[in-house]
Amino acid sequence: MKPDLWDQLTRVARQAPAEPNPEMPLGFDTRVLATMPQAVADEDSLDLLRLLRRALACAAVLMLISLTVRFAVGTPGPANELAYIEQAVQLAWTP
Amino acid sequence: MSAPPVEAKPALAALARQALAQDESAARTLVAELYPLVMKIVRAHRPRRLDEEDLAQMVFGRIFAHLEQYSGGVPLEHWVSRIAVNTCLNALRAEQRRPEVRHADLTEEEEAVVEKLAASRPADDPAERVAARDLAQRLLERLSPADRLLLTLLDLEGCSVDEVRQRTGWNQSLIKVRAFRARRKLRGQLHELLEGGKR
Repeated sequence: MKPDLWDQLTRVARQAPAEPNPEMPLGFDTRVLATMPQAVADEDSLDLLRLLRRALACAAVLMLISLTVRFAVGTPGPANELAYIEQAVQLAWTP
Repeated sequence: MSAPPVEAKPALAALARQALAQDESAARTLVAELYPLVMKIVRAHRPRRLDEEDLAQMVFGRIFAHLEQYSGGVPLEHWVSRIAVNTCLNALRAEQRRPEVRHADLTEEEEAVVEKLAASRPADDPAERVAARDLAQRLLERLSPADRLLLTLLDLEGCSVDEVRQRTGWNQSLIKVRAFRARRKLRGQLHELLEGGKR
């Protein structure tokens, strides 16, 4: 059986020494707190964007359904077509 | 090897509540307490073009933006992990470039690792282990963002399927199927790398 190279590679990779725990750089918390209102606003606008995208998708689906229904109802079938022709002929011959 | 369980700190939930009540000092302490956890996730999953500190800042931005949605049903660390993983996934999705890994681009150590693997010899040298990790990460970068994230968690961090489910919100069958397909791709790439070395 062929050796599983990916499995072997990751087994070796997992034995690599762990990186030391990162220390928070000076002023990082200040930067986070300073950008917080912007982050909240961004998230809000993202939520709004997602809502708008969903609304647009729903509207497109509704439009397609309504067009399909309208087309199906509006197009006369073969039986309807014959009735129209018959009616037209009768009208033409009626004095 | 399984990833060590995240130790729940009950004080964190209290800090989160205080931060929500506009307590600046509590918010600062919360950032300091969560920084190692967030950074660990960011380092494992960040795209190359993005600075890790910038990505960590984005993660904290999302944490604070959604903090009022934290119900306390799960430890805060789990909730934060999921946000961090999703933020990294979005950043990975934004990165279009997936650089090819060719045999000619391998470092000396990476080449040694590939040759030893092909010959089924153990790679015991610490430098080779680091090279193996770097090579695995470079190969993972060729995958789609979701596949990359998944195999980093499963194969490099040694998370179980259930742990991945908790962090990503994906269901178990999706995780297993996706992992199977992604590993198959990577095996193919590794095989090509070996073939490239023989030419």
